[in-house]
Amino acid sequence: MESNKQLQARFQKVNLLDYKGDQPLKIAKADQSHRVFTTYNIDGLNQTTDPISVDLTVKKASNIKLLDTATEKDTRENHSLQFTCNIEEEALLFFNKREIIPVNNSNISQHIKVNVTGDAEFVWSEIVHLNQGSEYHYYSLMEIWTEEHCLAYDPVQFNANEEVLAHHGMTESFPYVASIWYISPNPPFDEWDVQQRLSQAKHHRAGMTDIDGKGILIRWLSTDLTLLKQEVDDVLAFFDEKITDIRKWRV
Amino acid sequence: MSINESQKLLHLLHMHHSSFLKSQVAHAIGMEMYIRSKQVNSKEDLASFCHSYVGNYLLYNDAIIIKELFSKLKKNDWDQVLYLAEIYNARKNVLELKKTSRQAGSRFLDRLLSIESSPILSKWSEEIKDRDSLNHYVIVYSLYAFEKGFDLFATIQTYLYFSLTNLIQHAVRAIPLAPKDAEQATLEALAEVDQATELAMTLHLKDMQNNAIGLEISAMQHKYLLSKLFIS
Repeated sequence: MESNKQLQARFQKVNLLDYKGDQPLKIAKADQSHRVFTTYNIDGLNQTTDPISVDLTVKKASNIKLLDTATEKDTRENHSLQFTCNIEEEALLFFNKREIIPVNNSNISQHIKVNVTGDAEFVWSEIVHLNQGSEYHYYSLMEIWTEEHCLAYDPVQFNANEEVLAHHGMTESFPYVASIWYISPNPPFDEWDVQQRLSQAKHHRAGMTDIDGKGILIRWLSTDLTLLKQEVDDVLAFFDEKITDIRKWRV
Repeated sequence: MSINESQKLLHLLHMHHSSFLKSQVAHAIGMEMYIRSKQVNSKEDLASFCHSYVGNYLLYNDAIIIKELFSKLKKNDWDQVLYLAEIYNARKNVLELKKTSRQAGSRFLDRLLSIESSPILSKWSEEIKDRDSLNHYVIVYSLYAFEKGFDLFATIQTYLYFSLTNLIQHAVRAIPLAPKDAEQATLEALAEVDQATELAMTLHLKDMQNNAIGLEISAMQHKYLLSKLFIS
């Protein structure tokens, strides 16, 4: 029988203020040390067909990095994730999210709702495999609010074998889509610093846009997973470096 | 069609007349990269682009917003009107498209208010004094169409039709294509406009979707072109 699996956590600067997780969902502090981030591994997101509800709070001035360490890369047939997060002032959540690999006959639905308070920052990255030949439905709504104003409302949806996706302007024949969101009132870099990390190789397209001066969105369509991962990692490493430069003085 | 309905239709059609400044160049911004890279280089390519543009991009975003705005205005639910404007603004990911749409909305609002009194548009104008980021063309268009009592189906259908023809006119000059190819592409897409309008009447806010990733990336890249064919 289907039951909701919940994961709730409140992050302080170097430890969890409180934490509750239903099996198989878990968060554990990672071994790696970092100048500013406290890093946690999140696991279990791909190990249940029950609806998952993740509710996180990043307390004021905390710098939290979340790594999705799923051992099983493929999603289950039914994958429903409600991810809610409140990031308090001066805090930062850096979520290096997993790849999403829909299996045949899968139905993936996720709603990510993030509230970014004041000068808080939020980073989210994700790579989705558009498996050719598999039957799947993928829906992901990214909703980012800065208290009363909605910064982003992005309901991405792909249905395998949907005829229209092959047309110009859609996902065309690209098997991989990636996104990085970086929300910050003052991104600590120039847009050209990011732009030069995006290649325009054959069968690989990337673009970057400013989000009304409150962040940036980078999107890729690619046929080359190795190159795509390389670029995503390169951009994330650059963000890490710049964020560290600024935040190391606040620790 | 009664005389009254016929006059309303003419009024609605006039809203799309070239004398009113419009936002459709925003969509051509995304198309420009496809034309430059020769991916849209023929009548068939253009038809493919129009298919995804009308049957997906406009249908699952602009058409749904028009329909939802009509529904909230009917209930006089002004808070929800503002919420929808907020969501539409946030839905446009690419800053260049956002700016062009706002610019067109602002011009359209100013023009309408300068030629006749409109309680809804006056209220909207007050509302966005400190939040002009919400003043998108499609919002102003929907508010005015509702106030004038235009039929919802016709309001969506004409919006889609004129967006399509505007895009094709831009494409014909940039590719370039023969005028007869443009006419053929337009006539072939008319069925698409009808189908999209019919489908839009059944959709709701929760049905909004984004799978025009290629168009988005093209619009993002447009900013970094040294010379541009289409500017707002």
